[in-house]
Amino acid sequence: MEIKATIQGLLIYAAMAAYLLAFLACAVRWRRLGLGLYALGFLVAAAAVAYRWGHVGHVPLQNLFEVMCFLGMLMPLGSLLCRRFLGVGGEAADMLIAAAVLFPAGFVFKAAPQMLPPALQSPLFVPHVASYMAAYAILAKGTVQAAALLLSGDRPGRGGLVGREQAAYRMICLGFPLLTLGLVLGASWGKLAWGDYWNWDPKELWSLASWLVYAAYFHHRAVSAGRRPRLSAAFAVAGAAGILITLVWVNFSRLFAGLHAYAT
Amino acid sequence: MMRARMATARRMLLWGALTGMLLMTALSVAGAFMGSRPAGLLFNSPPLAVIWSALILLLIAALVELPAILRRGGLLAMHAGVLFVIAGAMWGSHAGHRLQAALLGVDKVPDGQMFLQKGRAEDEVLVETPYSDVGWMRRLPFAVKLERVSLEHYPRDGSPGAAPTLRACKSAVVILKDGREQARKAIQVNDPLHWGGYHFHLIAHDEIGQSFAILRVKSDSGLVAVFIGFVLLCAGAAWHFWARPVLARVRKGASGQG
Repeated sequence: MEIKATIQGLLIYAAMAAYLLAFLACAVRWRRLGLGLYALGFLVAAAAVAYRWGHVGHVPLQNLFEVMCFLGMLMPLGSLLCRRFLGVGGEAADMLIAAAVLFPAGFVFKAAPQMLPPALQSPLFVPHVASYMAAYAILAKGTVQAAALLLSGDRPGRGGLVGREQAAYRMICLGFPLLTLGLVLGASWGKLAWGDYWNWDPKELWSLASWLVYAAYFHHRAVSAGRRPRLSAAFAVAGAAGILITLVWVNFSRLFAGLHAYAT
Repeated sequence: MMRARMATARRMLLWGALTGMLLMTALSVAGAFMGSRPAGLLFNSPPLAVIWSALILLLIAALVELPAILRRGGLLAMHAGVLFVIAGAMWGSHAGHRLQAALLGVDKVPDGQMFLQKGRAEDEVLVETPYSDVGWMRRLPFAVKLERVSLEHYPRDGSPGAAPTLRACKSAVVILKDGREQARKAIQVNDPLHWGGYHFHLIAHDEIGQSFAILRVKSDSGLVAVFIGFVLLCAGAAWHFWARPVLARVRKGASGQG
């Protein structure tokens, strides 16, 4: 646990504070204030990413510190686009998720800038990581809907928004192609950098497991014809658990030594 | 009666697919705990070859039997993509190379390493398999000569004793056949040489004297199928989950206006 008394750190803490205040404002039904604070949090998080970009001289997606900053910036964009185009709400939960993903960037991960090693100097580096991060942000929203469905059942949508089952399905439909793209771009990059598109590395295997669970979600939904929404929701939550392990645990646990160690 | 049987067969196929996915998920998780090498061993083992083959058969059956897949281009592309990836990977595996030698008489080195000393041509590859710690030497039908190794470092950050960080490493090699030059390239990480059915990847180099480099030599068998699969998988997912609903909404809007 470390407190970052730097401009970078202050920007992260300010974004976290804005997201948390936005959540509290929504919780006491000051929705407009909450959304205003959420937008402010996004601008500050974007400034944190831009500052980092200028500081390290490359797109800041090299390690978990940079990735978490990037994810914290993406969440509000996901909220806005999903409400506008897919009729999926849940912004209050998104505000908490955004604050939660910024927490390790602010207090856990080291912010020391690192030079890009030769393996990361690839045109596939940014699209591979960015597509995964976008998928994670979208699927996190889907997980909230699925978890709510699992805990208290489906509810019909109101105010132009869809119900929980449909919301989870729409989010997973949006995120799954990005998850697929991230996996395929990673494999293609692995072929160029290491000589093989698949190295049975723990991070690769966990990412494959997550992808398979989401694929199983679609198959279960098809085979049950939507009659067992809770079991489908359980698949969605299991997929998110796989993502969490892929993103964080694999890099920190000694159980999973592998080729992706530089991402720590 | 016939229709009911078909419906049951289709449901069985879907349940089979779901079971296959959950089985592969469980194996992937187990493999992640085992580590890269034992996991490679597990997924290339004969029992897994049976499971991979069963998955291929299941995918073919789904493509033939499930009209829902055939009617939707995106679903068709995704399932065909997975089929291509698995088939290409099996064809490019060590067992696949043994099959190629038996069926087609094509005797390629599946995977190995070349130790190259500066100024010398080499055609021997240390063949490695996931099954054994002991490798053996095989010859390529051409030679690879290392001309030079060049390193580039980031500027030092000024802190005393800080080791320079490597920015780039290039190994200039020439392919020789019967003494004549066939190709040349400065190989670096992310930029391998492709020649004669093999990819040559730079995996290690001499940091101090720049006198040697180690290349990974990887057969390209099955690679085209795998990459066709990748493209089909991504294009199919984008079409099925993104483009198709958007087009449906646009059409609905247009018909509503009309």
